[in-house]
Order: sequence, then structure tokens, then C-alpha cells
Amino acid sequence: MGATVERNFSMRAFQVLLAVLVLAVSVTALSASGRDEHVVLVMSSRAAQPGQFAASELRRLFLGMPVFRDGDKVVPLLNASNKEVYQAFLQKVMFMSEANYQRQLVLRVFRRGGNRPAIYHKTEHLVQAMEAIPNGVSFMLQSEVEHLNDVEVVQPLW
Amino acid sequence: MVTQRIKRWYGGLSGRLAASILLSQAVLTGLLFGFVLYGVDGSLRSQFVNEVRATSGMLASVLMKLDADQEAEAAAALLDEALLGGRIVFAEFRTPRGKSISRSSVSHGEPVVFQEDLAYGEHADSTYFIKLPLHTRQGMAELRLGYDEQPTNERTLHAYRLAGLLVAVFMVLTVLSVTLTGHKIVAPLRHLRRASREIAAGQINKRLNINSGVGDIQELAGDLENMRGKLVSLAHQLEHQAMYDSLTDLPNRALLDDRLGQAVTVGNREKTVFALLMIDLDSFKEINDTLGHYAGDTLLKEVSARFTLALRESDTVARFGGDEFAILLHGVTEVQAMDIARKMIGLIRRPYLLDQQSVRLGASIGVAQFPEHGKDASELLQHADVAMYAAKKRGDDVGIYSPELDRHSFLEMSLKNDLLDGIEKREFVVYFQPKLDLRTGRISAAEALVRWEHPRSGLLGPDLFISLAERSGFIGPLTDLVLEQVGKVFCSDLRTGDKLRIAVNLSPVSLRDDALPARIEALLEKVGWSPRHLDLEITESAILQSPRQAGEILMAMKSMGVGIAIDDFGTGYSSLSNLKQLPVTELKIDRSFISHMMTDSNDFAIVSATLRMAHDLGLKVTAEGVENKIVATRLIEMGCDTLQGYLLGKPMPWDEFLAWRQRFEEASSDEVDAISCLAALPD
Repeated sequence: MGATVERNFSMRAFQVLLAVLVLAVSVTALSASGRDEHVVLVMSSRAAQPGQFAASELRRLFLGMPVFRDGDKVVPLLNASNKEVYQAFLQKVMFMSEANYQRQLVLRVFRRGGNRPAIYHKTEHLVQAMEAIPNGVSFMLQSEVEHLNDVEVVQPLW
Repeated sequence: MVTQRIKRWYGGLSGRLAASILLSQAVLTGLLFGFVLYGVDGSLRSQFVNEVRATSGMLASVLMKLDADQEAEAAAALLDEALLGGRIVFAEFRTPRGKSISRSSVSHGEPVVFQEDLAYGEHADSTYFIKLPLHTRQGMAELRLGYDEQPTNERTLHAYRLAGLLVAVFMVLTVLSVTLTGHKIVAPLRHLRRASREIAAGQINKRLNINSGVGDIQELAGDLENMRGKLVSLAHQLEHQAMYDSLTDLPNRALLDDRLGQAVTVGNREKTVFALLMIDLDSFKEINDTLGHYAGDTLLKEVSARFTLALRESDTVARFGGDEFAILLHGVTEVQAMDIARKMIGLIRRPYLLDQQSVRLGASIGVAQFPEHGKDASELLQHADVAMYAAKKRGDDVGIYSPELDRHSFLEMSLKNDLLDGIEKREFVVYFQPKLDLRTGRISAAEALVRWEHPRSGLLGPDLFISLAERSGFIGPLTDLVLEQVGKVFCSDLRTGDKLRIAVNLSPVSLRDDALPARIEALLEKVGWSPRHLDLEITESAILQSPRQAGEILMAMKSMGVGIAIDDFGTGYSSLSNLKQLPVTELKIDRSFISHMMTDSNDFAIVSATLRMAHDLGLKVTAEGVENKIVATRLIEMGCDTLQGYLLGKPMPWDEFLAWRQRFEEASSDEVDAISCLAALPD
């Protein structure tokens, strides 16, 4: 009798563990879904018509080098709210690893002055920053941009 | 077995030390190398990703400048070139119009499963796939590349292996270091432990020699060595105390036994001879009691010094305790031993200056010769002792052992065994020797003298058993027995009004018995004997042994009415001034003075002076050992109070005494003075 109760308990525990594992895999799959979505370059000012950024311009911009549009300095805003999007940005746009990117940023700031691009780990903070900074440029999932009113898609990145 | 050895090792200092160091080293090393490897691994991966992305970026920028549709061959050649380096294992260029140019060195014929990676090692396919959008004038093209992760994996693995090897080498070195250090610490500690066990077991003569680089251990070793040194010193002191007499610093009995044993062994092996002298000082106790213990100790030291100076270094002078000494003389014959013994007597007799008084001392020496008189140490000691006592008894200074003496000793031993039995069976009888009162001419007293009717040896005199009874503790019961017997015959056979007094000898031992007065009083009361008819005779030496106690006991006796007489007066060390302090009623001048007083003027002078001074002190005087009428007459003329001796009669049984007394009084009843009474005595 006791042995049967113990066996039933073990089976139930195993089933619960299995359910937790399935749930965890599903969440991982959902979070990775950003990889197949389109990522677009966005700018805060709807009024501005900056035109397309060349690949080399984007690299310079996000390495902290000055890029101007209509005499105004464009301000880079790093979106680290989605880790995969951030890594893909480094891979597809910056062509460097995260460590090298950080190192390059530091080296350039030390050598030439200026500020490192601000980095945002939460989407709402990024959105607030874009609203506050007129010439702020960042990159976001296209699906996220559709819900925002105050940002302008400049060009698709991939 | 192995488990027990490990447990024992772990329980020890070495085990604990090694285990704790190894454990801490293992943890620290693991953490250190873990962090290093984590950093190296991360760095290699980051470096790989960075290179992959940079290379891909450069390739993409070149391809972006080509018109893929027009320059397909050039694009294909570029992809071929890219694969030649070996790092890129897959390359695909998709034009904006959907045309694909693909190159692969991954698999042969198998389709490449492209899954884009954003981190190293993702998808576990050993290939880092990267997909880059190319914004060309014709539209969005795409570059897909696959990089081989294997070289980086191998570098990481190599780093791990190297780290593992380093850890292993480090741990081996640590183990060796710990073992070596542990050995350096534990080996001297083991040595110390072994040494302390040896010291505890009494092996203290082995010097402790430990050299350790560890200061604490070296100090501990020093402390232990100091302790051992002190123990050695203490042991030597104890050995000296055990083997030497503390007063004279002469060898004691134990050391003499040892040397005697060695002498016997050497004598048996090399057929050599030696002699053993046993020495007993005479009158030492009296000197000790009279002049005090300090004087006695000084005397013993002086005697020891005289012996030591007179003998060879090879001879052994030992103190046996009290006033007994022994001398072991190597290589001397019997004749030589006797000569040396006489020389020792001469040395002893030389005067000693004690407390500003000149004191003379005598001694008796017994000689036993090896191998004639004993085959072993105990036999020689016993025979030298027998010879010494025999000499003392004979009044000689020196005596040599003979088997005859042993027979006497055997008799004495036999008597000792029979003594208590004899007292219980009342084998002792009392003889009476008359005393003539020279003022009245009557037999006024008698001295009771005890005899032993031994069932096997016949009638024994007091010289054979009194000292034996004193030594064996039976003198008290014997005294009681004598008093009881005398009291009974006195009360049953004498008519009321008879003024006869009976004198009973009291042993010096009895004068140390505080219960004696009460016991005598009870005994007299029991038999109905008046104390006024009893005299107790004691010797001078008996009083001097413990003057205060003796005085108190005698005072108690006198208060009962008992008379106190000093027996053998003149042979001891007492003086009349000393006696004045004691409740003495009578002096008995020793027979040695009386018997020679008519021929030796000194003896005559002594007798005369004693009589005069005793009378001045109010004491009566009895002359002992009077054997002829000439002496008796002279004593009467000198004013002596009482005569005793063979002239009157030998000691005789009670009935015989009563009859003799009656005859004497009948014969002398008409005489008017003492001299006339002498006529009633035989010549």
C-alpha cells in the first residue's frame, strides 16, 4: 500500500517536472522568435527626413563617431532590451563581437573624446529616450515600432 | 587493516596537516583554474565571434559592390577563395532576384542545415552560421557564411588539458611539499615521543639529540633534555641516598650487601680471601642520652672518619644504623683481620671531645673470614654478627667466628621460641638471696632472682633469658609473673609483723612503660602484699635511657611506699648529684668494687667515698658480692648498712631461704652487734 502511494507520488512529480521543462522550452522558443522578425532603423523625429544611412555611416554612428543630418548631430541609442536583436545588430551591422564593440567604444572615447552611445536594457526606457532626444537613432523590431507613434522608421536593417 | 592505517595516519599530526593542506589547495586551485579557464574560454569565443563578424563584414562589403546577376562568376570565385582559407566551411550568396551561389566544404553531398548563430557554440553543430543582409542597388541580397568552430574548440580543449596538467603537477608538488614538511615536523616529534617514553620507562642516561629546523620543536626538545638532565641528577641523588648513610656519608647496609656480593663472586672466581668486621659501639646510647643527639651524631661522624682514614680506599666502611658499623677488608687473612680489628678498637678508644667534654668509648668487633666462615654475603654477615655479640657477651673487644658460637645462637633462638610458652606455663621460679642488716644483725631483706626451669635444658640462669625477654617484648609479663609469685609466698608463709623486705629487679625496658605503677599496685592488692615490704632494683643505665620518664615512674612507685634501689652502682655513668633528683632510697655497690676493695686501693677509695656520700644524701648502702668475713668486717667498720653475697648464702628457693633464715637468726639471736653476728656464718 505504502509502496503504491510512493510510486504514484513519483510519477506525479515526474509529470510536473516534464511540464515545467516543456514550458521552459516554449518560452525560449518564443523569446528567440525575434531572430526571424524584421529589424528596422528608427529615428525619433517624424519631422526629420534624414534619408537612408549607409552601412559605413551606421557603423561610425554606433562607434561614437559624429554623423550629421541637416547640420544636426545624430545621437545613437543602443537597444539592448532584446539580447538577440542586440547581438544580431553587432553581427549584421557592426561586424564585431560584443567585447570588441565595447573595447572599441572605450578606446575611441579615450582617444577622441565624446560620449559612448547610451545603452538601454528596457524598451520603455528606450522609447522615453527617443521621445526626449530629437535626433536619436536606434534599431527595433518592426513589430514593436507599429505600436509607437513618436518614432519614424528610417530604413530596414534586415 | 588498510582502513585502520589510514585512520591512524589521519588521526596523527602529519595526516591532519596533509589533509587540511591538500583540501585547501584542491579547493583554491580548482577555483583559480576554474576562473582562469572561464576567462580563457570566454576570450577565445569572443575572439572567434569578433573575427567571424569582421571577416563576414569585409566579404559582404566586397560582394555588395558586385552586380550579382551580371558578375555571378566573380562572386562564385570570391566564395571559392573564401573557402580556401579553411576557416569558412560554407558560403552562399543570394542575389536580390533569388539566385543562389553556394559553396561548401562541410559535407560531401549532404545538405547544409543553416541555422544562424548569434553566440559561439549555438545549435551544437560545430559551425558558426552567419547571415548578413546586403543592401545593393538591385535590392536586398543576402550573404550566408559558415565558420568552423573546431579549431577554437581544440584550443579551448588544449587550454583545459594544459590547466589540468598544471593542476596535477601543482597537486603532486603540494603533496610532496606537505609530505616533506610533515616529515620534518613529525620525525622530530616522533623522536621526542620515543625519548619521553624511554624516560618514563627509566632509561634516562641516553642524551637527547634532536636537530629540527622548527623552532618550537627545538625548544621542546631542549626542555625535554633539561628535564632528563634534572631527572639524572635526581636519580643520582636518590641513588646516593639509597646507598649511603646520610649522617656519616658512609655506604649503608644496601651498598655493603652489594659490595659483599661482588667480593664473594670475585673470591669464588679468583680464589681470593677477604674479611668482614662487624663493630658495635659500647655505651653509645648512654652518651647520646646524656649529652644529647647532636653530640651522639658528632661522635658517630668522628668514629666514621677515624675508620675511613685508617683503612685503604679499596676497603669498605659501612654504617649499619645506630651504633653499628661493618668493614669489608679485601685480601686479608684471618690473622691480619684480627690485627686490624684490634687497631680499630684502639682508634675507637681514643678520647673524643664532645661539648667540651672528653668522652671515651668502647666497642666489640666480630670477624668473619671468607671463605672459611661463610660462602655468601648473608652468611658472612650473620656470622660476623654472632662473633661480635659473643665477644660483647664475653667482655672481649674482638672475637672471631667459630661454629661453637652458632650453637649458642641456636640455643638463644630456641629459647626465644619457648619464652612465651614458658611464661604461660609458669616455668619460671624465684630464688632468694639474703641481705643482712648490719645495724640490727638480722636478715632484713632478700633479693628475688628468677630462674627458668626449662623442660629440655634444665634450670637456666637470668643471663640466658632476661636480655632475650627484653628484646622480644616479654619482659613485662615476666616481671608480673615474678612479682605475683613473690607476693603469694610472702603473704602465705610469713607471719604478720615480719619486717622482711623483698627486692625485685626491674628491667630498663619496664621503666619506659607508663602503665607499670598502676599494674604493680593492682598486682600487690590482688595478692595482699604491702608495698612497704617491696624494693625495686634498677640499674643506673636504666634511668639514663629515659631519665624524665623513669623519674616519673619511680616517683609513682615511691609514693605507693615501694623502696627504690640502684643496682650495680659504680659501673654506669650516673653521679650522686644525678641520683639526688630521683626518689632513690638505697644504693647497691657493684660486686666488682667490693671483691677487690681489700687489694685495690682505688676500689677501696670508691667504696669508701660512695658510702660517705650516699649517707650524706640520706641513702642506705648495700654491698654486693661479699664473699668473706674480712671484707664484711671492713664494710661494717666503714658504716655499710647491708651485706649481700655468698658469705651469707647463694640464691635459694623460698622454703630453703625461710629455713636458712630461721637457722641464722637462732644462731645469732644472742649477739649484740653485727660483727658478732658474722660468727653465725660459715667461714
